[in-house]
Amino acid sequence: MAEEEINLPSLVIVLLITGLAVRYFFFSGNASSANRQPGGTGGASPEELQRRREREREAAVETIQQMFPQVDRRTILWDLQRHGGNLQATTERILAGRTETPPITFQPPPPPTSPETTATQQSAAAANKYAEKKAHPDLITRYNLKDKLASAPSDDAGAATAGAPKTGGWSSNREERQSLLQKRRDQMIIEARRKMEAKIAAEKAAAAASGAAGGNN
Amino acid sequence: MEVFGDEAFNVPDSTDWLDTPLACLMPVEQAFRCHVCKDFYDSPMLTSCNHTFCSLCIRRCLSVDSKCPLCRATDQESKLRGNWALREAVEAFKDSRKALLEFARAPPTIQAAPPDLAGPSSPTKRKATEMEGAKEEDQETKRPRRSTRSTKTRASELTAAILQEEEDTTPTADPDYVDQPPDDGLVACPICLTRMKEQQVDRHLDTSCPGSPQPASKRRPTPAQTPQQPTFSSFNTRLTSQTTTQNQKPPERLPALAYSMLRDTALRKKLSELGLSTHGSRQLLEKRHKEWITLWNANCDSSRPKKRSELLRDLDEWERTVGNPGTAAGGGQQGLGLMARAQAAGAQIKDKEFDGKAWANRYGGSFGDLIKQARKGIKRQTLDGDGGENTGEGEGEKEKETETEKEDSTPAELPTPARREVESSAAPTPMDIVPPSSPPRHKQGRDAGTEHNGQAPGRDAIAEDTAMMGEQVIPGTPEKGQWETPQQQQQPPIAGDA
Amino acid sequence: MSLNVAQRRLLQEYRSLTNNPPEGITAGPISEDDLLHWECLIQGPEGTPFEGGVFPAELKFPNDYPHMPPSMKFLGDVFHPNVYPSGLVCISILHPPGDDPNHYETASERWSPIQSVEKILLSVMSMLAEPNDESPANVEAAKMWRERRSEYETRVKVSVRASLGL
Repeated sequence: MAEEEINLPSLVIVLLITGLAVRYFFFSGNASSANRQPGGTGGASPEELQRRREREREAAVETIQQMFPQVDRRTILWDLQRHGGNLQATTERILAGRTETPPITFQPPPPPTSPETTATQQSAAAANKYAEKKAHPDLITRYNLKDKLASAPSDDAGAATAGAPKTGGWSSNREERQSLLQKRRDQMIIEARRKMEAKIAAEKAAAAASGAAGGNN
Repeated sequence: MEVFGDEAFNVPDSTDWLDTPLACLMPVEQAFRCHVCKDFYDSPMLTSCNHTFCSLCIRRCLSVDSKCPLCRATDQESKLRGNWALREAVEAFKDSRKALLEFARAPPTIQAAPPDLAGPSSPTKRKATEMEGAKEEDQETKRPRRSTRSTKTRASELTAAILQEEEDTTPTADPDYVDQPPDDGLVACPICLTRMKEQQVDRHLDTSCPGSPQPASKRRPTPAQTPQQPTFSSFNTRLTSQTTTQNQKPPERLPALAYSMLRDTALRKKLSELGLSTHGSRQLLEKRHKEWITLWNANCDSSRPKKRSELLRDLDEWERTVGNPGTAAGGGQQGLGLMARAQAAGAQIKDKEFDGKAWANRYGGSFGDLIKQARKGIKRQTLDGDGGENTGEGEGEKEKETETEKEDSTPAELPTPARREVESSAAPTPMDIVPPSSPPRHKQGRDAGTEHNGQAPGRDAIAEDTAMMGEQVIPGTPEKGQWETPQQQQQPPIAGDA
Repeated sequence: MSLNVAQRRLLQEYRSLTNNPPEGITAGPISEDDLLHWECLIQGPEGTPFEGGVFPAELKFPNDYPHMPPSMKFLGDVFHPNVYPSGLVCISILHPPGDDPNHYETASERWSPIQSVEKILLSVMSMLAEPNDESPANVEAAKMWRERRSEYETRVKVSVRASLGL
């Protein structure tokens, strides 16, 4: 009948500790296998350490998520990051309902798919990284160049070939310098985009031509 | 960051010549610029490998790396030698630069004039006009003087001062020095520099010339002939009071200290002897002392040494930027590892306005808890060694309670640097220390990863915390395998319940 | 308020890069209020899969620049053996003088105060052209580059086009 005397907090504590134990067991297993895997570099390369840290973070997040499925990953990551990655502290805060809503600017790293096998986790993490990178806005969006790209392409191209960077020079006015730099930046991107467009068009034309030639023969 | 005036941003560069017809002057100017600071040489010093840098630049480089930045030959500060000829050349170039640039940028009609005659046609340029005047004078006197424009005059004064300062007087140093107010109608003796009428020179040379340059006071009838550069005024006052300063010993260079041989108190004493602050951690003290020596010794090389108060201001400036690793996180402190960073973070706490008592009151409890926790961790490790599974679990639970207590008594806003410091000092357990081999490159990676979380201060420390998370939660992690395995077997049903 | 050594030198470099921009490089502080934080654009070197692309990156300088190197991070997708998935560039010129985590870089390849933003960016450009697969920062990229070069090139080309919004 001892079990029935266990109150809620101690139950939570027991859960927590077992959860942690499992995590650490798994984590250390992963770490050692990861250490073996890349080989050659002898010990911890910075990149390997980073992976390890990522895994640690993921482990912490997962532990918490197991305990509190209702709390979303973003909040957990935010809380962990804000408070020095202390798992216990975060757990306490969630229990006390003291978690903060992360700001919009906070972008949590993507969750890995399967933490069980190191190999899949690694490639999955890499794939996720790639996916995340894909989520980077393209340069046109990033530098807000849509309008410029659309407006008077011939004019712009003319200016670009006229040596926009050369005309820049150093201005004694701070604002002017800033805007000149921005202009040069925009110019570079627009120019690259135009060239790429032309290249793609040329490739298409070539493909079509060869296709047509092939058809004729 | 502070907002600076536009003047502060007006940093001349050698590429300024590029869009002028005198683009060929770009390499000339480049040759007058230090490879480290990319500015004009300031007290240029020669290394043993025959490279030249600003005194301050090369001293800093050597204190970081003990190698020449250009060829990476090992060198020592004590082997540096002044490159006075270059100093003079740089000063002369600097002074003529503005006029030259204006001339080069002037409208093409003026540029079209033959360079020799361009002087009078550029109205605003006083120096250029003088140059022209000097040239005419040259033609009249047929003396092979190079130039008598005021900048040259200044350079010659400078050199004269150097000559006297260094007691390196050679009669043939440069016979062309002329210290001439433009309109007094006198010329200087090419050897002793005494001013006299042109017709007297030959006879003077044959009869009364003493054969070596005379002190400035003798051959300087009008000391008010001062160059226009405001920056130079300090030098001129020095020069006019030459007779008095001459007798003063030049400031002595400070020897470097072997910090590892010095005890804390001795170092503090040294600092207070130098009149410097003795606040801060040991590491900060060392860095401060080193920086002061660098600043001081570089100042000794200068042709117009700064006052002590100015040097102190420089040191203060350094302390606020480079000396404060909180802001130097980008790379400067990378190699220093965890402890060093924690110590450095402590420097903030040692700020003047810092209220130590309040701090202690506020966080005393958490400090105590952390110490307790660390002690427990050690005890537990030994316990775990012979204790069975049950002990492990019971301890774990107790540990958890302490943990809870600690977290409750720790205010959420407890700044991480402080905690970091406490942890590193209070928990001498091996697991608290990040592997020393942890490459700094890596830290940057983490930095980069966390930079969107919108909190600037203590970011590094937090990243570090995250890194150590595993070790912190359960002290005694190294032994975990021994007692955690059985728990893991129980885990699945419980996890399912949760 | 005067500029300190690092700021003054960076301003100098900014001016030099503005007056005389090297081919395929645009660089300058994001705001002149903080001269220690730059953004730059690098053109992909010709004859490589990165050709035609423009890659934004940020440079963060320490307060004791030029005695310590800045860090550089690509702001877009750069799939390259020497670029961490986070975008951080791992190249010998950016390693601080005393520090040699990998023990195979000769000192001459590492940072020295005589280096500059321009030299860093040019080194990064040549790094894009010729990866150093001895110290891979992105293991996946390094592996693909070593074993399946054409796949690697296709992937890079696709991401270059995507980055230009095509």
